[in-house]
Amino acid sequence: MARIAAALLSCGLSAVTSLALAQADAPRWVELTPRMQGVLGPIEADWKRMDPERRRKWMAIVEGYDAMTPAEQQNLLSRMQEWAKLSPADRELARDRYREWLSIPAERREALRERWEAYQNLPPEERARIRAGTAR
Amino acid sequence: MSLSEEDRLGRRMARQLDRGGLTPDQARRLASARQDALAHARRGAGHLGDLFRASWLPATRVAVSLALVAGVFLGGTTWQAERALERSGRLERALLVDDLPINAYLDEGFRAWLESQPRS
Repeated sequence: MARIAAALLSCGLSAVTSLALAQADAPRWVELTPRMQGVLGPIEADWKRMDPERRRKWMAIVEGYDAMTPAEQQNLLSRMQEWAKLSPADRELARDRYREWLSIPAERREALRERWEAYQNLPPEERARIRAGTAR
Repeated sequence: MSLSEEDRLGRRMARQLDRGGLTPDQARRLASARQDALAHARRGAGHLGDLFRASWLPATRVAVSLALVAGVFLGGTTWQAERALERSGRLERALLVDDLPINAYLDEGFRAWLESQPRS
């Protein structure tokens, strides 16, 4: 009985400790390592207004940055600001559609990438007309 | 390894006891002393168990039980939240490093245009 109670108590204590650590594990900008500051540099200005969960999310996003290919690093760095400025609803929508995207077979994804290029090459007024059509 | 004085004394006593020859009164006193020693050892090992058994502390029992339940619940919730955050972070990382730009997922015009195109 005493052993079970002690095990439960230690579980409880470790849970409370992990909760406290999780709360504390949302560092201010000056508390980040110089390396982390370097990688998260594009969103430094946004860091102050981010809630602790969002900060920890960003730390999870850039984890493994050094293992990425130069092209992946470039993509990440160039899109961080845009991603940070999206509303939570838009981020959720993008995540949902990215999940859909991942479920598409690779060869069809390649075709869709080409379609995106073709769409980008449409005259701006044509794209505006299409977008206006979706708003109706 | 050399034996301590206490160990040597213990062994001498054990040999003496093995030979027998104890009076009923000596045997009874030895058995009683053994029971006392065992009870003392059990008390020393179970402070938390004693806390639960103490009938004069019902409020403590309730409080400790509630604290345990709350701790385990909070720990479970925190663990799940952390795993969800990790999964979500991995997904966002993959999205941000992918060939397609973020706008490709959010541009409603692109989706409408795709649907209007003949499938290749």
